[in-house]
Amino acid sequence: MQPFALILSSIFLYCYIILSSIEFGASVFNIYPELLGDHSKLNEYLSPVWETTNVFLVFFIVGIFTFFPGSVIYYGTNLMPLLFTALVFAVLRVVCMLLVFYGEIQNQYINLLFVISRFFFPLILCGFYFYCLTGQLAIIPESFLGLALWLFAIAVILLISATFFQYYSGVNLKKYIEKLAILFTLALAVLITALANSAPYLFANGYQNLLAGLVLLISAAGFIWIFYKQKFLHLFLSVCSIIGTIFFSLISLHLPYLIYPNVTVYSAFTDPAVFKIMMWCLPFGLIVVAPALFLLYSLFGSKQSHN
Amino acid sequence: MDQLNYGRALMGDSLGYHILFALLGVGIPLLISLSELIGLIKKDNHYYTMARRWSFALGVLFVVGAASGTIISIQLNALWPSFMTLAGKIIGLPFFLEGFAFFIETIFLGIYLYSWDRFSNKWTHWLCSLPIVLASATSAFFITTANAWMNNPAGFSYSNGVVSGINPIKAMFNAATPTETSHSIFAYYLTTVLAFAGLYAIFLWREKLDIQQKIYYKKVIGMAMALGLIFACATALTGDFSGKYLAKYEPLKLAAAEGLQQSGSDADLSVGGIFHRDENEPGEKLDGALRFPGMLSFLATGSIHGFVRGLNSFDPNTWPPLWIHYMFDFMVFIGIFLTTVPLIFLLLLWKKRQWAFNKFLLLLTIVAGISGFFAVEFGWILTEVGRQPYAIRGIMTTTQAFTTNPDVARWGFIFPLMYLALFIITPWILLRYYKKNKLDLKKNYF
Repeated sequence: MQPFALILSSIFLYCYIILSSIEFGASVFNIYPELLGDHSKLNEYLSPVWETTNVFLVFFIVGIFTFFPGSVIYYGTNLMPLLFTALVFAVLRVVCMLLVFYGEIQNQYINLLFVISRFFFPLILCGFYFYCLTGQLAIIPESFLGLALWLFAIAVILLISATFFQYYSGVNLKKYIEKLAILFTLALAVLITALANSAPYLFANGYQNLLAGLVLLISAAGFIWIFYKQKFLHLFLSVCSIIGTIFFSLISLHLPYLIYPNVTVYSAFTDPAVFKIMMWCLPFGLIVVAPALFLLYSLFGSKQSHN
Repeated sequence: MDQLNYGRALMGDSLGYHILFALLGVGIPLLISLSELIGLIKKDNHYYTMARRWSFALGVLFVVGAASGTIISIQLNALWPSFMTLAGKIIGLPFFLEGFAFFIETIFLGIYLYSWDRFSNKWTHWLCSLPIVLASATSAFFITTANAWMNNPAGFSYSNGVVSGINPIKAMFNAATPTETSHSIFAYYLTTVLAFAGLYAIFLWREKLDIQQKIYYKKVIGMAMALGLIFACATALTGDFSGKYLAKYEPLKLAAAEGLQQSGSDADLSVGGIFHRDENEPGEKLDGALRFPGMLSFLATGSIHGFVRGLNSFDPNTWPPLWIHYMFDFMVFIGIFLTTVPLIFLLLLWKKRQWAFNKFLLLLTIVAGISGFFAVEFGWILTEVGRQPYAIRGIMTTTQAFTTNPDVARWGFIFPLMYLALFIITPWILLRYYKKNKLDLKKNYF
């Protein structure tokens, strides 16, 4: 029940990572609109869809503090500077979004600020994960693990956004994706080394490792195969699944800890009666949200919808 | 300023800003949806144009409101971790549900804003506004239940710091929930519609208007005033219920809000006055107030002879700051004003149409449009400060709820700065847009 609650809220974080990486890509293209050829496509993707991006993050935060209220005292007290720094970037993003999309201001400085806000926010989130792994606060990483996390996050953001725009806009990014795939593999290797060094307790369970490794291998093989087949929607989806595998593997390997070594998903868990009612509400919520989300993305998100 | 007061100031600052964005985020969808509906039914280009034009502002305000809501949610966790740990366990459910409402609101807002010309049937577009209206109101409802629970904690047993027997439904629907949620949501609607009336009164004030513009502005003012009267009555009614609720469940807050020293029957309603310290008694005494005999008893219990508890029946250490009395007075005074203005306007519109848009009444409308926001702020200050020294009444004091992290003052300055940025940029973008896209009534959508 408790691990399920964690995975459930993590699904929202995962969606956020994918969407916000795409948004990062969009913010880069916003500086060089001529790269895309047809600029209206970008606006059309961004305009209504981007508003939902942040909701996934909010849902993750809500999930953590409603499912695991016992952890708030740790996160809230110790992570305060990190959370506040993250907020600055979140608000910066909103301000830039307002100026660029509602104010229709084309100013390279604002576009640059937009890129910066999209770039640093995920890096700050790395600090959150770093805290869960080690119980220590580091806004700017100083340790090997912290740096490895940043490197990996950068690789993830770039790879997702590149493959998405390769599919969505049809711009030729193949050379770039090749390089990114290599960077990503390296970053992953560095990350696993760093994790094995700094958080060896993650790899205590051999069976889980094997399973995760297997899925990862299959996904990677799929990625390479699809890449040479030039099916870019599938390419993007395979990147999502690779990143998803890594993401959920790391979370499940980290169980039962929420924050190592003090807080576990069991010790921080909410009252079972409350959780039960939330789980009763969940399907009703999803029944309303899922089709609506589908409607939104099919109206605006997909390529076919251009008038 | 010590850490705790610094934290309080930060939270108050954030909430004070957020309420403004949030109340418009709740109110504007209803107004736009109704306006579009009237436009569609009567095939009236003016109402339809108004809905269309305002959907842009709704989008901007929603984005800003969502951002400031995120700030609040992070700030709650970072500044009041002990509170969130305890409260999250009991009152987590509405936060969880609010997540879904927020989701729905965002999705349909995206559809609504960008699909004015996308559907061949105009009614389809209007249907997309309904989820926004519902979801924004339910969002407000869920969040306010959490606040109601802080005022009137229920649905659990508490002894020696241990919580047991949690019933999240009872916690959510505690005794404060019906009055607090309805009163605040009606107040948001009231404030929004009168702000619209006020804004269009400013537009109408100008001399150089063509006849079409005049008709358009008058239509909007008329609609907003009619809605204003309905919501003013609803707000007053739920406000009356709130008074009765307070008398029964939070008598200390009521006593402080009224500056009532002695318990007793036939209690007077005091308006205004000045607090002064009396050597022989704890706290401060209210002097020079306008007194209405028996009215407080009547408002609190429904009978002018009813018994109302005064400050003297409570431990002075648990008294809230007594200045909330002024917050209460301001709120009620503005509330009465906000009921009177639409009433006069509608009476004139009915009997003497040519007088309804006279300059004096337009001026009053403008004042009403602005003062509504103050009333909402005063109301929130009343209920929040009136609960002090507690964060969760009778369970956890604000001091206990506060973070132990000593760095609050070092990091806190970023919040006022962020809000300042949002507060400057939002009107700037709105003005810029509406200056660029001037009202064009010649464009017919039907």
